[in-house]
Amino acid sequence: MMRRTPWPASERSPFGARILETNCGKAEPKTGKLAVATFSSPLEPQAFHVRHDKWCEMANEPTTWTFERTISSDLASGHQVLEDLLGRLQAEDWDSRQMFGIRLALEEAVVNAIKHGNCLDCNKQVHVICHSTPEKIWIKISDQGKGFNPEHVPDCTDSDHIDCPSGRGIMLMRNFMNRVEYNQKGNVVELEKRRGQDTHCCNGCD
Amino acid sequence: MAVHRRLQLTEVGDVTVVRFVDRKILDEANIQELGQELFQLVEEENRKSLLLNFLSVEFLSSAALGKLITLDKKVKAHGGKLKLSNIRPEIYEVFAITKLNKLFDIKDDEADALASF
Repeated sequence: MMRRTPWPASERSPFGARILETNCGKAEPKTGKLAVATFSSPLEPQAFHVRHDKWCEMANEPTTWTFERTISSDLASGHQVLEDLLGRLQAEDWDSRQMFGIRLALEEAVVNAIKHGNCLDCNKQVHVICHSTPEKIWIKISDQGKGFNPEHVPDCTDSDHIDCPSGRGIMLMRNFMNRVEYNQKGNVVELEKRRGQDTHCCNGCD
Repeated sequence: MAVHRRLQLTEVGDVTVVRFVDRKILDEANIQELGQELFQLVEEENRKSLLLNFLSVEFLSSAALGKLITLDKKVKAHGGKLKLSNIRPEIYEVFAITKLNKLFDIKDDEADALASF
């Protein structure tokens, strides 16, 4: 497949530092895939190969990757892992509204795991794994707490609980992600967001 | 007057206009501090008319919503008025999902909000 590069004009030289990471026509060892790039400048008509994953990264196209981290139960570690993961996602094709929803859902899930799941007990850990594919991202957050039943969390949109200062995190997660599921014990949550398919505000919008 | 690290205050007539120092209101320690500073405005400084201007706020979590709800209760208990303004669409959606757009008096901009006190 011949494609023009997405790089700005100043970086089009095929001899630039980034481009030196070609695999010279050999298949990339991990994926076995090749990508071929061409340059728009008539002075640089060479076609050459770049590693598939590098090509995807440069072309700002989603690629398959996995992010995995185990952290102690303090909120500073939680925010650091979120920043690292969101930085990875921001390099891809999520728009600002989707990124807002993903950030909010992950923030709520990680803080819930640390604060309500592990009760800020530094002897307990939180495991975060994110698998990103061209179709979707899937995230699983596990804590070592006693778990809970999400069905027992009161509905804070109900007029009896509207002024309750807590209990809205799960509702926000469900609204901003395509899928939110807890395990039976309630100490593992899986979240899924599909690319190019926005969630709808279905709960309380006029 | 108390020192406010998370808030910027201006007086417009009888109304205290509150702006937020943090663009992202999500860090637990900051939210605790933010809550205390907001509550002080009502309980210690006895301010009756508060306008929270969210112009600079790009993100807030449910923990921050909890502080706003508690503030609303305190303002009402003191016979005051609380209004919110300049909320960007993504954040307004958070209020709408949680139906807090019905609990709070939310105006488009500061001028609208000031005129409504």
